[in-house]
Amino acid sequence: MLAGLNCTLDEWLCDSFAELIEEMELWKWDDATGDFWSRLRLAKALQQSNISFTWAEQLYSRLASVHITGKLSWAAATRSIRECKMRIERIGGSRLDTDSEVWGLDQTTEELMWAGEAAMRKSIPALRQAGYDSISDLPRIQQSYREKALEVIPPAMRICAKSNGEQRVHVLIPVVQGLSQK
Amino acid sequence: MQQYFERVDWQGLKLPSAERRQRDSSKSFERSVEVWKDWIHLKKELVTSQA
Repeated sequence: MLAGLNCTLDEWLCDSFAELIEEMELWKWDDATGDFWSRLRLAKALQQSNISFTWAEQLYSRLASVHITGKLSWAAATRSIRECKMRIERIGGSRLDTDSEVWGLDQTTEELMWAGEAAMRKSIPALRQAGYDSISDLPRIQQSYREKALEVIPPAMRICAKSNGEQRVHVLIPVVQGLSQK
Repeated sequence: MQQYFERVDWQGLKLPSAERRQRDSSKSFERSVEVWKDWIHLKKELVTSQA
């Protein structure tokens, strides 16, 4: 059963059960019924975030070994981008027929929602193989607050309204075997 | 993929509201009937495997 949990977490790019719960927001109920762990959606991992659990705490010893402490999963980092894509798709939009300006996106950003996600899903096995288990493991550049030429991500792609969308962190994709440079 | 990751909302991820949201979703999840049914099933399975 725990092997099943591992597979589910890998498939959905999550590092913990807590991440999987968050990921559920992007799933329809029907998508989640085929797999015990995704259907169950109970999260012991939240204990690591100092969240008090009730009955789920009893599972701790069985689930603890599959968590990666303190790291940001691929899924969590990209969820706001994928949520934006989901909103477009749920009203019948697609990569081809969506007017990006309506969503406050430029053409490149809009295309990236589909192409970028596909590239990510294809590339992550190679990155994991090379030891990059989560996005937190990738090298990154932090831009100083003195720099003015910051990129700002569109509001539709931000996690919440409180975020100003300023990009002060840039992760760098390393060259690893089996990873396309495109 | 590099460009894709450049659209990650790092500022938003640092906000405390991101953690609060995760906590809220877990609580509403715990209360659902479906989860209770699965929990009972899982408990039985764990007891069996421990025996």
